[in-house]
Amino acid sequence: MGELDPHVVAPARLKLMTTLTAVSQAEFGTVRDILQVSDSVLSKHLAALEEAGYITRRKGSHRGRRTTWLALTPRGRRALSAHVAELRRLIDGID
Amino acid sequence: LAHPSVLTLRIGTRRDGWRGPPVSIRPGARLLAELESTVIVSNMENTDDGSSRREAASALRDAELSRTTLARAIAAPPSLFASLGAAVAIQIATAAIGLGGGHIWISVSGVALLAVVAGVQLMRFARHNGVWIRGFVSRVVLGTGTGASLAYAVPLAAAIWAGYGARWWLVPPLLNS
Repeated sequence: MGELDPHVVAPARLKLMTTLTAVSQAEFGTVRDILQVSDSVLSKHLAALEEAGYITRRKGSHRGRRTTWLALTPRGRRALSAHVAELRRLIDGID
Repeated sequence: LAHPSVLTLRIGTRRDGWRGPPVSIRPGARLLAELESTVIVSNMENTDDGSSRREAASALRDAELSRTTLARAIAAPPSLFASLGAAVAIQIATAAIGLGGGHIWISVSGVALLAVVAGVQLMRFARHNGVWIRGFVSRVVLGTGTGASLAYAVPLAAAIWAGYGARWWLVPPLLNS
């Protein structure tokens, strides 16, 4: 029996990490618009996930202005897979 | 007051009075965020009724919806495929003309043109969508998919054959002289 990952369990973080699985990298504003959260809320979750080693942030530019590009790390992908598997186990009611 | 290095809390949610395992939390700037996550974990893992299942199902459904929303929003910018197709056609023609006429610079300039067009279109794609996609360069731009590889290799082989054969409709007589 696995355990829910405390770094991913907040719904916003689960949405953030799941969204990043669709692409190699995503721009900060794009992710913010998809998740429909404020800059500060997204930054808070990104800081926590980066500290856990689940995402990386890279400075770059987008539409002529400086921005941040986000990507899942291999460790983040593994953590997300394990967390989702545990959620499915909870949903199925398997002990 | 000095902050303790670790706070140990007990968070219980069962109706029978079971209080749950002790949870250690590092105080600091993200204390509330960690506490929020810990409470959610504790609730999901320790609640016996169907609410934890509903929460888990809802969380998964919302996460998948966000992923699908992003995936559906990704689109090729206008003229991406037309410009890439034109650049590939020019590269094939210049390769044949250059090899057939013995003018390598023509072949090289065709490759350079394709590289420039591909680079510009990649930048446009990222600018248009706000994302990078692994495999886009190899499969779409460089055409490593089976269909794209055949669609490139067959015309290239035919063009080179025509170039070495000095077919008048491909290699201008001036270059072939």
